Amino acid sequence: MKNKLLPIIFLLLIIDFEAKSQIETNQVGKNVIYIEGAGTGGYGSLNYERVILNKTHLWLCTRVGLSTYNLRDYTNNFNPDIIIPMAINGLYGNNHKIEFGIGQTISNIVHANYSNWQTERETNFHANFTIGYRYQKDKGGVMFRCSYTPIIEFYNHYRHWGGISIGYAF
Amino acid sequence: MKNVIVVFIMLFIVSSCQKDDFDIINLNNNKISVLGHGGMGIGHTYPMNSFESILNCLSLGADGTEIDVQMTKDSILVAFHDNSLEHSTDISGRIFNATWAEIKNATYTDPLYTNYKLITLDELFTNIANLTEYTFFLDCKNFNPDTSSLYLNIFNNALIKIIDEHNLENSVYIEFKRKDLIKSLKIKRPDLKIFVYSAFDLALDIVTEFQLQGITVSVDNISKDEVIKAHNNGTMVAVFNTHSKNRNIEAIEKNVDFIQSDKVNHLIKILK
Repeated sequence: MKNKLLPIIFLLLIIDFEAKSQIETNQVGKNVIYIEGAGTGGYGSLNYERVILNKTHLWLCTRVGLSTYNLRDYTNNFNPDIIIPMAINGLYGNNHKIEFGIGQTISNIVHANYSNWQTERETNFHANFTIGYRYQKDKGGVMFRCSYTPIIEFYNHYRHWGGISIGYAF
Repeated sequence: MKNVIVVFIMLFIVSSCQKDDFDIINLNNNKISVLGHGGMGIGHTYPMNSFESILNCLSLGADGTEIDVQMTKDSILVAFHDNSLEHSTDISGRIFNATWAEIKNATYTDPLYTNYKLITLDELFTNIANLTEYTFFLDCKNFNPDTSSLYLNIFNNALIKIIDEHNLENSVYIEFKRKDLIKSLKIKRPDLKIFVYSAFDLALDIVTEFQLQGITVSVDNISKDEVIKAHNNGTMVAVFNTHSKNRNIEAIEKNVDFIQSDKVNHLIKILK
């Protein structure tokens, strides 16, 4: 009898967990698409963010973005600069949230090779940090954020920086 | 109704592709040379006077570019605008106090995530294809307070060397602010074309005094009548500070001979 009850209890627990998750999923806009002026993408970036952990007032999100300076290189050929800001951000609060995060920006920039003077693509890594304010309702809708986003360029040079974002959560 | 809309769209496309018509009368064969300001100009993602900025400007179809020129302690001419290196690079100090070896690894700090480097004039001219087809204004930034004849000689000899080595006698205009440098170069090489960079009336006096080719002024510091006055004097006019489309048009309407623009793309589009 005991052996027969155990699978039933386990099944009931799974159903209960799934039901709770479903409620949480329905309550939270887990995806955000936003544009950021300045910020960790340089002069501006298009970003996608996904909530990966959701406790009552505390969220954990991953963010990835895309940005560029020039689509054509200095010889006027299509050869875009690519900047990819990535981060893990924590959010605390209700509709008005405090945001804090840490991440890395990957830059893939076209410049001259100063030995043979031909175009050259160079990849570099930079640390980024975020602390700021975010307005975002749990169920989704318009999102606005304003952040201080200091950057350690080339993991060598600290630079004060900031950004403003607007987007949509769903 | 559908046809009317199509006609309107066609008219819009045709009109937007048309080159603007300007009635240009000047001393530059009645055409205005489109020049970059340190390449792509202030505010572009390529730093002014960087190799990338200058090459980008030329590859877009400009007639040439203005380049800011400074000389190191060991007499190397470097393309750089600011008085001090710390304003725009990751090192500090002044170019005339440093050797080229000391500053050659300097990197421009803007924009973020990039590492464009300083270049010498020799490196630049060596690596521009069809160099002599372009026009270059060499804006000599003599921040060195030294006024001795030794310094004047060294600076002008470095200029002459770079011009001669790259066969640029006919395509270079040298811009000076200081009369002592003009006088010294005029004695050495009277064939080189010199512009003076000063307020209009003073500049015109200096042109007359040294028989120079032209004056360089900010576009907002010269009127159309003053351009006519300069032209009547046989003096060409180059303008800078055209950092908007409206300023480009303002400069064209003044009938100047050269525009050193911060909006190179726009100027190429409307003039070439």
